[in-house]
Amino acid sequence: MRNLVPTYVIQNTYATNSLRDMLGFAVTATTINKVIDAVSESSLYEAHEERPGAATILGAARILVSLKPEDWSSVDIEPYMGEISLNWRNGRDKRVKAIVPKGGLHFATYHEARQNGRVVDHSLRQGVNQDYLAERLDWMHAPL
Amino acid sequence: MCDEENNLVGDLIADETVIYRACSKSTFLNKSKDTVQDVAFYKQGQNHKDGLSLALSSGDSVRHLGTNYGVIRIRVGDIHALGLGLEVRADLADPSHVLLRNLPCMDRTDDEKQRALMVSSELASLAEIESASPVPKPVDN
Repeated sequence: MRNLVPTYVIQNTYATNSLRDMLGFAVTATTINKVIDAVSESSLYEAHEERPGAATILGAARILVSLKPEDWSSVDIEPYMGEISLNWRNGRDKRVKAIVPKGGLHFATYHEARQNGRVVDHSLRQGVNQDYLAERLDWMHAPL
Repeated sequence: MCDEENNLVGDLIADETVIYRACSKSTFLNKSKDTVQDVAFYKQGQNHKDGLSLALSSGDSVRHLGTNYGVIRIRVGDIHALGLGLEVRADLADPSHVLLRNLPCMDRTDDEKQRALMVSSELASLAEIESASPVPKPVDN
């Protein structure tokens, strides 16, 4: 799976014409490696469970590179049945999940708020974009 | 709800009973292994046709798994008290096995998946870690 990064970078290197572009590709490559590392261990899967494919990994990386550095670094990446979930928590009170389905072209978000140990607000929204996810993460970081 | 099969589903289990679920993958616990994650209660309709599998003892929960990464536990009364329509019932085919019924599925409609994410989160917050390391299978005499 690690072969994904050199191929991705090489295919895009011809377009690199500035330091900003080069840094952008470096961040992308680092992010792809972060996702690959997070979904590689066999202990993450049940026997015969489907693993995320290259397109799903790239889809997850595409989301992560668009986020603020603190959200990039605090993400908990989790594979599930061929999908990849990107998870964030603010203590026990709020959490946000971006669900990247097989193919990685579109994604969904799930957000949840708790009070007194019970879920008081939750919503799954399909076909969202990075701006909506960033808005949900801002909501999560804000106090209840 | 995606419990398609009702054969061999028995009576409700008493509220004071503690039931156990094997960690069939490491993601059932968080990375520091001190919290149960909601994925421990995700149900796939195609795999769990009669309900989510739990057991009446830690050993019985791992009996049918090749590998496990620990065991979690939860009190039946806490599940029933959620008021979400969940039921813990006996499995008439195996006295050590119980079924968590009426759990929404992750692999059907978006509405059901949204509910599945919420319900699994509620269950994970009630569950406790029995063992954060692999539990040996019981030796049958």
